[in-house]
Amino acid sequence: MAKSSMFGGLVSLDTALYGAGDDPMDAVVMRDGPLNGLLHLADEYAQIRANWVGVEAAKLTGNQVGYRGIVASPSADEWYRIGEVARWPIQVRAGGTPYKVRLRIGGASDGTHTATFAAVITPTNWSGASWLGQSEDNVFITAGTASTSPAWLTGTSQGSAASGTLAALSARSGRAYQVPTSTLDDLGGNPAVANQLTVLLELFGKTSNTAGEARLHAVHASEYVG
Amino acid sequence: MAALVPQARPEPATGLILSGDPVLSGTWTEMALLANYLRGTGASLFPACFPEDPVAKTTTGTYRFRVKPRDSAIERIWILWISATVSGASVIIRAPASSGTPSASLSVGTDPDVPNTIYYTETLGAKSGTEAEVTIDVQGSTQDVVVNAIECYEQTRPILTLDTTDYGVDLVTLRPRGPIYDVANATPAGVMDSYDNADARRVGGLAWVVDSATPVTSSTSTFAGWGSLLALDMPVIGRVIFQGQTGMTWTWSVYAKVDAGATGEVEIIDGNGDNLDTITVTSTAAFAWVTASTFSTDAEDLSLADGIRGGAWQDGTVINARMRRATGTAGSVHLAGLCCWDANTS
Repeated sequence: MAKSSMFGGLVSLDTALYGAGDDPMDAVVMRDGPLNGLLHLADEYAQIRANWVGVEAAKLTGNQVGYRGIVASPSADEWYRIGEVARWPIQVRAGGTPYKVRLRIGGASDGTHTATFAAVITPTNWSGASWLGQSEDNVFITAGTASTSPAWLTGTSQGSAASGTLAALSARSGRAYQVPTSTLDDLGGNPAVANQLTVLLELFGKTSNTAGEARLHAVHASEYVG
Repeated sequence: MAALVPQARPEPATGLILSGDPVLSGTWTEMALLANYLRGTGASLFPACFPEDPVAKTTTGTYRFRVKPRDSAIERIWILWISATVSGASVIIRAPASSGTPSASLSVGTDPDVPNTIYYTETLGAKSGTEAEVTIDVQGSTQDVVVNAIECYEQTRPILTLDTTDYGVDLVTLRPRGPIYDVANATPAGVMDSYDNADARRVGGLAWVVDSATPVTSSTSTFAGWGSLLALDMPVIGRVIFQGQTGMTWTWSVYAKVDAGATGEVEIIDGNGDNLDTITVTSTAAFAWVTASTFSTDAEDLSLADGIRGGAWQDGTVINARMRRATGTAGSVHLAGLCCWDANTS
């Protein structure tokens, strides 16, 4: 299910179609203008949630390493948590399906062994680790790299979509894991509650040898109405 | 009397609207809910970024971002990931920097691979959609800490106010057989007002920020001699606004200064290394935001499953930056922040 609007963009209508203020307007003009426009704005109200990247190696100072990773993992070829990269209230479509998340993962290894990365998008009341090994599209696993130079890695979501660019939570998750968030009803106003599906983008790494290092250099995550 | 914001975005059926027939009350109600959803659902002010910035014990790190917020927001949610190298570290968070309400002292663990996740809610004193600096302080305790990542988004509003800032639409006024008045925040006129004043921007595109005590510096006079700021070219895909549009304009600025006797230049470049826009840095006294400028990237292609125009990540969908000393024979240009955001109307 992709865009919900009819035209994939706001439509500029000829003023002759709706005349002066207070004139009647045909229903189809209303459909092609405001209704299509609202649907399109909502389709494209998808936010960029992570553009997480360190500086180029030559610009590192002090103790900076320009990546986060796992070092000397206790077991080879076993996933270890690198950490969270982002948390946010994901947008949810009318049927309960969350917006998909366009993912891109940049990584490297210590050069002696192969490093592989996994990204999991999960409701915050779940642990990302519990999804690893599941055939679900909210789990995205990269190809291995043995290079010390950071590079964008190809990858695939692990569910039936097997997408090379998108991770996706199921509609079941969208409906089941909304959580109440305390806020106010207006500036200086009364307490209020916003129910949201807050998700967590969690990264894992593994190496082909316990002496190896998986180095996470960059993560991009952006919502897509898809 | 309530302009409720739905949890999930409604999708009014276009097929229920037929030429010559009246538009059903139910369709107007769905449109009002969608309009309220767009005004009330919070946007990302900037995506999660990776300062990897040290805050020495007993000092304060200040992180400054440039954004154009949405004027319906009343709270900002800051999330920080902070780690320490030795035990006993704690931090106090405050937004805005210097003047915000300080958090309690928060303990920070010592595992650098598993930074502590810290939430901070900034309650705003006024609604504003004006481009501005938003700031946060990380005040260290008796041990050094590292700010690993920062992100910030607007808190979602469960209910909107019936005024010409929020443009909430009172759902009760769209009941079947109700009269259609030309009054604000009510009936179909309220839906049209909200649509006319919509602000459904993809606000934050990219942010790279460190404390001004630990800037990135360039003393070279050529861009080629310096390389790039970021380790990898980062995806920044725009939204389509009007039908047929293939690109989107982003606004950007840098928090920078240059040594006396010199001027500096910072360029935004695409995946080919081609210049998209240049900002000149002239402030020698102190770090300052330079007047914002613009560049364009590809917009999404909504006909594709993943929306990436051209079917793959390409030159027009990614950006990086580089800088140099532009004039003068000595001195350096210093960069402590680079932000780009969507400032387009509609």
